[in-house]
Amino acid sequence: MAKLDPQEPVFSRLSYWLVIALSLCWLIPLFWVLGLSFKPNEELSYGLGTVFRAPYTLDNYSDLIRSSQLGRWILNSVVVSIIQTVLVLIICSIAGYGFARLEFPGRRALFVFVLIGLAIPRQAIIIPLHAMFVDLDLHNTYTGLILPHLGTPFGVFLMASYFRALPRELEEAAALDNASRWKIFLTIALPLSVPAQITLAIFTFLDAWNDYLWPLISATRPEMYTLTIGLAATQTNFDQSEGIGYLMAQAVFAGLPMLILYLIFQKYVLRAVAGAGGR
Amino acid sequence: MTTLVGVDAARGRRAARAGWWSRWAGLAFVAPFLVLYLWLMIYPLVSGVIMSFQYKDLLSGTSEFVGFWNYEDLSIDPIFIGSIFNTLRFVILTVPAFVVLGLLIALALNRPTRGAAIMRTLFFGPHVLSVTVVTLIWKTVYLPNVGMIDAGSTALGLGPLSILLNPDWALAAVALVTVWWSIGLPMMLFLAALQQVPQDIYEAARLDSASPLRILWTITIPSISKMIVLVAVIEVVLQFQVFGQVNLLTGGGPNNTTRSMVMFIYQAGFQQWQAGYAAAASQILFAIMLVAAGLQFWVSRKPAES
Amino acid sequence: MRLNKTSTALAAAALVAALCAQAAVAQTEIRFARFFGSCEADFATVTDPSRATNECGVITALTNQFNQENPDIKVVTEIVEWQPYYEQLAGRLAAGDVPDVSVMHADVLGEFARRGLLLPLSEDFPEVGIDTSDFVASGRENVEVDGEIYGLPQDFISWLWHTNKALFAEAEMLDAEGNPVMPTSVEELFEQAAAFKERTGKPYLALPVDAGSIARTFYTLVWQQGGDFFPQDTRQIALQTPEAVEALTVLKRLVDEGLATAYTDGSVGNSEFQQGGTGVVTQGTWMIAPFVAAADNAEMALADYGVYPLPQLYADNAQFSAGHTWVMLKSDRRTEEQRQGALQFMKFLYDHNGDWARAGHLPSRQSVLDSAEFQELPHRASIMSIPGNARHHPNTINQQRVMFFTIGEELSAAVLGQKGIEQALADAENRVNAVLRRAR
Repeated sequence: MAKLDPQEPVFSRLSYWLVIALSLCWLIPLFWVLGLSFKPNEELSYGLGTVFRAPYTLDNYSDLIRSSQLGRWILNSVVVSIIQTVLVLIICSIAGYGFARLEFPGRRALFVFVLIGLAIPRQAIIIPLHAMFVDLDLHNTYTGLILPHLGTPFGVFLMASYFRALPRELEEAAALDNASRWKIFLTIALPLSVPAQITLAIFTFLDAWNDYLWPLISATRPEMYTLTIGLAATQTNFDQSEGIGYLMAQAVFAGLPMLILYLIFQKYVLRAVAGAGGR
Repeated sequence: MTTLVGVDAARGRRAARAGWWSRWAGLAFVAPFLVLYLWLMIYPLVSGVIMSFQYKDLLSGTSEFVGFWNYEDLSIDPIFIGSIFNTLRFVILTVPAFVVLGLLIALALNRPTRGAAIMRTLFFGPHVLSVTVVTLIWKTVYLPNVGMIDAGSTALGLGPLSILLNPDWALAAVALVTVWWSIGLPMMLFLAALQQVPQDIYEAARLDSASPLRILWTITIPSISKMIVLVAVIEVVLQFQVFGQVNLLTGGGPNNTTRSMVMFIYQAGFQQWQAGYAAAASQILFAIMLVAAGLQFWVSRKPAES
Repeated sequence: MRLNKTSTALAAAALVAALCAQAAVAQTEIRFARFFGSCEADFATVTDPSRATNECGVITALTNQFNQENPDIKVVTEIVEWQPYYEQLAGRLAAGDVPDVSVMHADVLGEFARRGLLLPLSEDFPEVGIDTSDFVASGRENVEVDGEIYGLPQDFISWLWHTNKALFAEAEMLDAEGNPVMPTSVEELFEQAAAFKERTGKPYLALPVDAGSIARTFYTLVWQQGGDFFPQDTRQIALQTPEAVEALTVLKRLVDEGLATAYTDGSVGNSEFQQGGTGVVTQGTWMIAPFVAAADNAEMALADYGVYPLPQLYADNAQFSAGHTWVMLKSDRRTEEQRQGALQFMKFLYDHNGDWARAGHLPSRQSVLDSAEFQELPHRASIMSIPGNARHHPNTINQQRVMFFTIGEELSAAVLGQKGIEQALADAENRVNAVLRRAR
């Protein structure tokens, strides 16, 4: 990282202060929403400007906890995101290793074939995928929510390039000991690939957690909604909602766990995202 | 003799089997993924192409071959054509912003101070929120008359701006939300690239007392050009598929200026139950994205090669 | 390591399996899909519908009451939002996984029935004691397709003229009976609106122009002129007609001249009305109860509330109407017990039609409409003329929802000055006809 230069040029310092100013723009909406969530709904109907003065209340949060299906939706999101992440890690690590390290007939062609998949936009196959899952009777199930992401080649691509960059010597030594390919993979390559695994895990988890279009058309029973869909359903019509304060409490309640998780693991998250770029 | 031959043969067979195994073991590693890939990506892709030549009803599932009917209809559907232009406009609004702003923030925050670390965390933060939380937040910012922006502009004597209702500004407003939401990814990718630029080049430049702008232009940007292309391609692919923000913030309005291609596909499929029509629109989306990403890759490749 | 990975995979697989199995349904559980919002916070345990005055409260309390009275049946409510309701329903129909009882707007029931998606109920209703001859005429029109009954009409909704009579008094525009003076022509409308604005300093009308709202106002004005949307056949709408141009011009002029304020978010217009910022707001029957409550609330500036049909500006006193109905979507998975349970629940809703009417709607049963109990509800007397003047598109028209919102989007763009009146109507006509042409 660049050293902080005491003689830092004006230009650089200026840009730093500009970015600090910009970061305020990133913060203001968050505080605005937090503030609104503590306001009684009736008062907000006079105008959102009332956020700057008392009274404040916890009613929105207690209403939320007492009544809404938010808990169920969060559970659905957690289940889907975690299972999806675990499965993607397993499948992509194994396949990535296969493509990176093992020789087999047609490997090159197959890898190119898989890479082409990077260019297939998920949203462009959603209609046939929906029809396919109708035939398989998979809508409104966790399986139906998880499966479509397991065929995405990004993870294979990421893991393959990571395995390829690992030094071969360690594996060769083990190969001389007559260890099987599988054993070499499990005992040597896999532990070394933890940084890439973390990267892939974070990307997959975020992707699953934030997925919108697929759950929108697949999870159509309210109890199968993911958090994203459940919250979306409540905001299409501010007219019929239970008040802006209540909606904002929902937003905070739904967003906060992820933000807290992120703050706790920020070091890993940021390193992992940067790691994906290094590939 | 015979036994020896037999032993040899057995050994040979074992060796052959081991050879066979080592030849095909790799395939066993990639097979699970390949099956999923073929089943969940390639098969829908192909069946989508077929579906685009069918009249397919979403509710009854009945289908009938209609040739290019769906495509002909799309070519004269002003809403579909409008959605292509809206999507292109959205990509043009967001992708340069992601590249330029992402790079600027990365440059400013590429330092080992605590403040920079905090701000990196902050800029990446919204990225962990789901699209519906993001739109909930921004709806109250943009809400006509009473939202944060309109309250502010009214206080300043400008009157309500009602940005989301203004056909000239609504798409830009959605683009702003998108940048706020996911600037973190390009920023982090640029930071990663910046840290791999060898420091000694900078030392040399500083000794030549080159201006910071010159250093940026002649050293930094060329050194990370690959990442710039990568970020641009990633963002083009992502932003072409914009849906959630638009669906939740504007619903395609005002005056159809924010309806994106994916939103069109969703509405054709699930509001009008025209699965074949939606599948045909999907093929157009796919084709445009391929061209756009390829073009961009090609354009940015050129100078590097020459 | 190996063990670890394997067991993780196994655990994951087991979890998937366990979670899928959970979808199994308990016996005689009735899945009840509706919009009208969620109000569990206030009504989760309320079993007395008379304690509620809004749609959500009444239906939640009714469901609770039914569950309490019928321990062998469990009605499980699936609350879907109003806007994406039919997209979600389409997804569920495509997947063959449908609720047992669903709410359905009257304007789409015909198409669902013709597509064979609804269970015919003509024979079942008399068996459980639902008397179809008690349905009000236009309610019956809504649920009857080719002589067969496909749903239980629940109510009768209309688009009304909600007024702040205190402001009308200030403008000296109350008649002898204390009701606001109603315009009887377009000229009078503009004169009165201008006079109102001059005397109170406030806009006469809050005009919601979100796609759903503005289409209702527009339909009413076109029908009042005797306009016909489908002069040729049911697959071709005509919107470039003198009547349509006239209707849209009136709305746009009201906004352009500052006599009306256009609201793209209806709730903002409603809250402006409640705070005494405008004389009139055009809104649905479902806003009667909230406005009555607001008028009773001392903190709200709305003090003297009155509600009327939209003024008759042209020859014909037509009023937009629509309705909610309860239907049973066809399903292979429904057991006989569930079917019976669903019918019983519908009978219960039929019996409690009067409770629902308290939310502001007109009841779908003639006997309830005629009852003193209903007529004594606040403001009902002034809108009793509506059933006789109610107009809606015939249920032979397909894709009425898409049509409704498409027209609304274009009208909204015109009123807000984003495109010309002729252009908007031409665009709306083309878009609707493209959809109708593709629909089979």
